[in-house]
Amino acid sequence: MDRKDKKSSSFQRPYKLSHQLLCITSINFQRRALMGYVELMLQPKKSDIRVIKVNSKQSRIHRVCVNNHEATFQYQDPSLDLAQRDPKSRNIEVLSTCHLTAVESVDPDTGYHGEITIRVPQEVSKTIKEQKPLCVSMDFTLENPKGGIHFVVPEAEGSLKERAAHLFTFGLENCARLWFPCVDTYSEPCTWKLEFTVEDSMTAVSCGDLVETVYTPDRKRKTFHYVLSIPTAAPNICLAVGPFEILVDPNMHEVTHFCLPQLMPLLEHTTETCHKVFEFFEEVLSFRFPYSCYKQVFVDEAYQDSLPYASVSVFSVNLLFSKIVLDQTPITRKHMARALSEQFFGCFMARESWNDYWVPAGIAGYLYGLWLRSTFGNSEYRDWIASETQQLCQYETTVGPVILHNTGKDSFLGRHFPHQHPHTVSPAYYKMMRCKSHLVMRQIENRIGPQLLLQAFNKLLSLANTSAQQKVISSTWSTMLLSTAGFLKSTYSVSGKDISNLIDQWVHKGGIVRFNSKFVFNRKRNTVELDIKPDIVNKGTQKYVGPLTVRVQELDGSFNHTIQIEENTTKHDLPCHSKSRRNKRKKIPLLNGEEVDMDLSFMDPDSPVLWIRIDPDVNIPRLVNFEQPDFMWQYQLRYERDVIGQSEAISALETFSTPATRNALTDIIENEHYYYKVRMQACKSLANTANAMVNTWTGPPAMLNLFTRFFCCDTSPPIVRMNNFSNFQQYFLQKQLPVAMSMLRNTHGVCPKEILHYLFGLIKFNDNSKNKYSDNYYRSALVDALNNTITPAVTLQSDQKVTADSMPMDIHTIVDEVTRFLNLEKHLPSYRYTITISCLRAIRNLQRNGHLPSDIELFKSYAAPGFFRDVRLAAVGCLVDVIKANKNVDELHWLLDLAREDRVAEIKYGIIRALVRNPPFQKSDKSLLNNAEIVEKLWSYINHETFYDPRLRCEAIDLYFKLFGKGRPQCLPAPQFGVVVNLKEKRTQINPNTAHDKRGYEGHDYPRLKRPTSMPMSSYGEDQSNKLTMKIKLGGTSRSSSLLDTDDVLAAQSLLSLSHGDIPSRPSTPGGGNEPSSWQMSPKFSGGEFSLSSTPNMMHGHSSMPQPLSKDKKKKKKHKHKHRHKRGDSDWSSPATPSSSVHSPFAAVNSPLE
Amino acid sequence: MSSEMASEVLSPENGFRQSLTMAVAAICLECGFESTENIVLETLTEMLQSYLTEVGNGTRAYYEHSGRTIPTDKDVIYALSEMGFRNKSLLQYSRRGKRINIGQIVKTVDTSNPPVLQVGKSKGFPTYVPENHKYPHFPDPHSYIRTTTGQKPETDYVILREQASAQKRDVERALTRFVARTGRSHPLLPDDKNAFPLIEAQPHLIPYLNALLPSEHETLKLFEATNDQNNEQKEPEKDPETPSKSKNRKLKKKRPSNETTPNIDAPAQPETNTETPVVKESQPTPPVPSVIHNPYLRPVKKPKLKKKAR
Repeated sequence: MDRKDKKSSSFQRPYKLSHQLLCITSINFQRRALMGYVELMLQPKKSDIRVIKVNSKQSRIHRVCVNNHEATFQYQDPSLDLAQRDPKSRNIEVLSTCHLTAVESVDPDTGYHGEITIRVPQEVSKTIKEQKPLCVSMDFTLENPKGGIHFVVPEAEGSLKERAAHLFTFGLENCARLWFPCVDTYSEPCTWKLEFTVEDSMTAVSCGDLVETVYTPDRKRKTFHYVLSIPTAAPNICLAVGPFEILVDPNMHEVTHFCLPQLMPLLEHTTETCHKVFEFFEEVLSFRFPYSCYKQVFVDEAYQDSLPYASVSVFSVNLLFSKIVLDQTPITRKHMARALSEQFFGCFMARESWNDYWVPAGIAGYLYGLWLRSTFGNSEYRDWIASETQQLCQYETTVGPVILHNTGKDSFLGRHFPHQHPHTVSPAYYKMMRCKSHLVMRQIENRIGPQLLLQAFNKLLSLANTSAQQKVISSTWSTMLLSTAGFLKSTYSVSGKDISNLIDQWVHKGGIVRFNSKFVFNRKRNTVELDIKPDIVNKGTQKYVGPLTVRVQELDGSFNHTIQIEENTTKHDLPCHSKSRRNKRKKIPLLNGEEVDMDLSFMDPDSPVLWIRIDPDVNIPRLVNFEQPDFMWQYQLRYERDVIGQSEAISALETFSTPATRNALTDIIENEHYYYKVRMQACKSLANTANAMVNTWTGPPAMLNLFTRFFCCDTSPPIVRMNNFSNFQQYFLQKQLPVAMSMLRNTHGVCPKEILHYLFGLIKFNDNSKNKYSDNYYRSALVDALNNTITPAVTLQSDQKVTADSMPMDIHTIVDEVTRFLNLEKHLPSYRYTITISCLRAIRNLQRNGHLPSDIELFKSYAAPGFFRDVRLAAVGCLVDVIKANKNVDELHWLLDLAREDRVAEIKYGIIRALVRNPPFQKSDKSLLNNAEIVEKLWSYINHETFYDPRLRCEAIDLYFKLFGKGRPQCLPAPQFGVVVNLKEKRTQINPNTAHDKRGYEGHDYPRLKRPTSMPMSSYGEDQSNKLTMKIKLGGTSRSSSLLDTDDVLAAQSLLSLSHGDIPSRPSTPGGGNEPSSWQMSPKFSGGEFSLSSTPNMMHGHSSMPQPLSKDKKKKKKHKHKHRHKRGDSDWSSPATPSSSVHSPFAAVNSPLE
Repeated sequence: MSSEMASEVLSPENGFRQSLTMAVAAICLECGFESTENIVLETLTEMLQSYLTEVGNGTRAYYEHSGRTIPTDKDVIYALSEMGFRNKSLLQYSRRGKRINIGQIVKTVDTSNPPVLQVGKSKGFPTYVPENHKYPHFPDPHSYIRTTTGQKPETDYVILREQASAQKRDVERALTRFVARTGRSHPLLPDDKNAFPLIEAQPHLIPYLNALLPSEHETLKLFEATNDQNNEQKEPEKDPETPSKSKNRKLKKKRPSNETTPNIDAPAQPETNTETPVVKESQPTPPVPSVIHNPYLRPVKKPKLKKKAR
């Protein structure tokens, strides 16, 4: 464990990368293959370099030369098969720990690591001694890559251009190794020369300046030459090749946009405002855009909506929109602005290590927030901040703390994944890190002031820019890296303020603050006695000491009080300024200086306090549970001028379902001066309020009259006006109101007929013929509204046939409408198939409620390839729901197979995510689905099938955790005969039959092991009954002996005499959770020793020619099995040399497990 | 033979045809033929019939042209001469010597049209027309006097909307049902296959195109809308700047609500001012774009190797 402390300070790479050449000489779209070579220019820093380590995955390396001398090399990648040392363990914590060890053992940030180890030839050692630069060149090919680079080749007729075949690179954090050999870390920037030879019809877009484009001698292809003179790290290098249509931004000619054929009109419209974002960021930072050009590429089947690279941003094609589309506009613009802010912080200035990730992410997020405020207004900005804070608090209190800069040793903190590496964190955690980073940055802004913070940014950028200009390799390039310490230094030198306590609390520590608070007004002293109790017991919370703003709105105005939260006191007295209600009929000043008349009759006549807000500006990530009477919430809702306060009041009022609340909410919805999101929230809240007071409700159903007044014809009320969406706020309200109305229920718990028929009327009379904008989102909202009205069928007899005549009238009409909408979409598709998606969900809901028979084929047909991404994901969501309801094992297998086989990374991820969101069963469920086959499938999915995409792998780990919990899944049979090694207790014993062993795990009174354990053991309790033991496979033990520390080896050796060599497997026990502590030692070994200890089999020459595929595969399988017993740890992966693999080196990875 | 036929053939067309055949046969006899093959006779009949029809058509053209509804003998003469027939030869022909009587032409049953329904009262002749005129009677008044028919077009908004929406739905429903019935479909209710047929989902090769590109009727509308907009904009004489600006204004949809809310946020206000110090160094290229220098627009260079080879 001490390795962690060492890694940042003591470790130093023995060379410095000064320049890299990446040359892709040919790309074959049909075979999804590419060929190329790289040249790394290294400046040795030590005179005794014997091996050079670089990162590479997936690609096949044919030849390595060091200064033109051929060198031998070996390949080793533990992430291909995580749980090798423990192949039968099905414990997610074991796996997570192995995962961390595996990724760290090849991560160039944690030590001198890499998948490829090149032995420096003798001839070159002299050069190294003289400290002269080395040139390492590597030829590689990449065939059918699964991650890192994606080929989109529609299987249509016609040329590649007609089919819009293209490719692009992607990855989560540092994934560049997946497509070319490099030093895959952000901390090793260098200059680049990039050359891509592509077909004549194609354009290659990459980082840096396009210097020239030259035809090949046969004139059939052309080569794009790029030069990137600003030192950049390998993960920030990207490539996109395709028959792109090129649009030079009419306002800034150095900006170029690319899209696929036929989409030019959309591209023109989408990028119309791009130059304004540029101007904004350049003005705010008073710093020119660091790169001399900027490119935006829109690609299909993108990994995520936007991915920034040095001077290039890769966006999803689905972000493009035409003039008639409304809802997508702000979304796309936000993505584009965020990507641009990440050009400054994230690409130009990259993080130094994973611990410093929060600095660039935070700054980019903060700048994006500034842009958001200037473009979409303060309300939007504040709403965003509030919602991000809420999401963060939600996550931290349910899953666990989010730590931005990890200094502790515990890598789990109660979660099921370690957070020390970007490739091991759960995607949700990653998202929350980004979220927390910019919230922390906002806290720093509050502490040192916005101007000084911007100055600090400017300083960082200027320094980086200066060093970037230096052409010779120099140590000053390190100023281009952002680290926590460097950032603190910079802010300190600019502001003179020390913010280290803030950093300690929010960056080094995880957790949010939670207050339970209430108040009493003391009439005698004219003070508010506030009681604020911090909650530090619950998960994800932490203690907070420091200032807290409390804002009290009194009759005489709004007053801010800053109170100090201290450890022991919870009481705070806030003096009131106004004498209670002396002078009636006086206007009440609000915070923004506005003076309003209020009806004060609801108020407590003794108290001048209208309402109180704690931390009104959301300065710290907090959850506040504040108690004040309902009339105060109502005043707050009506008269608070801050959107955060308004929406807080709305959510608080959900518990006070009274006529007064109803009036307040109705007034808000009606008032066009309120922020539209608040009004939309009020709609929902009003529906809940109405449902709560259904027995006393008078008058027509809530919001019916409102909608009629706003949107229906004056002369003929039930008929809705022809659509006119030119008033955007009203448009959003028009969309929201039917959905909110449809949530109303009468005393029988069903949607009132009145509402239902009103909705039918809205659908019937919807007329968009004179509207400037498309009404697809509105129509899909109407379908959603219909969907919401569905309540479970009254009679539910399974054997009864459902026919159109047997349906209730209203359901019949709903089904009819949904059918019509869905069928119409086939011929008149809406933008992004929004209506199809709503229809699919509605059909599923009808099925769930027993109105329609369950039909899995329908959703399967929409989940298949060839449909639009959103439709597929929606269908997958429905499928998951069907599987959950029907316990359909085959279909779950089908879905998991799809998650393995599909070509589109986002769909694979979406499938797993849908399962995580709506898990088909829980750990303790006795479900048909909860069986060993599913365990095996998911296990192998995580263990080796998803080596190419860390995001997918981590999401699958989340799923595994959701389904089976932390211990060994209960559905697995208990380990049978075997030798029991209790790794935790460091003892072995023979356990003839463990199936009925009910002894508690902790109950064993064995001598404690000397290594500290950090695993929380609590969760093992449930599994104790089943498997407390661990069998050790002979071969496995011996082969991994080099990794185990001596205790383990001794323990294992003691088994040799007990068990026979052909015991096939080694199932694990919860005790395996402890094992990683020894496993984690492996980086040290693999870094230093393994190459020496490994057998000659690992040392592959470069020269032998690839052999026929089939033969080779067979050979390889044998080859592997043989070695499992003979060799040390080196069969972590198959060697990636042509002599043993024609296919990708991972083709036979499964074999040991089969 | 003819009598036999007569009993069978009742329709006037066949009767005429038969008479024509007989006439043709008679003429052939007159000319000295003794026998004929059926097909020849038929052909000649056909020719005669066509000729007569043409004469009839010509005649009608003449009388209609002169504004009458009944032909006079002059019309026939004109028509004949138009077809190249020398009218004088008709007289000669009628006075020819040997003439064969084809006997009584079969009287076909007069499938008399039902009497024309009299609508309105036909007008009498004006007084200056002598009593013993031969003019046809005036037709029914409705055939030449314009009368309003049908109801007035609906102007009630409610009914119009009702009708428009009903029509639209009918069209949509008919279309979707038709496609669902004719093509492959997926029944929503397996027990009642015809109730709600869903058109089967067809995967697309390039799915994003349909999803993103606006459909034709939408673009058409957009086109009209932009035309209107352009017309409006041409008045204030502003160039390409304006569309983006107006677009921008639209996108700042939260602005109105802003005016009420943001002012509380005292710290934010001064800051937005400070954010805009004038750093205009990065101002994009001047408004008049001369030549766009963009590496992607440059022509592709010739290969260097080739030059060397030469």
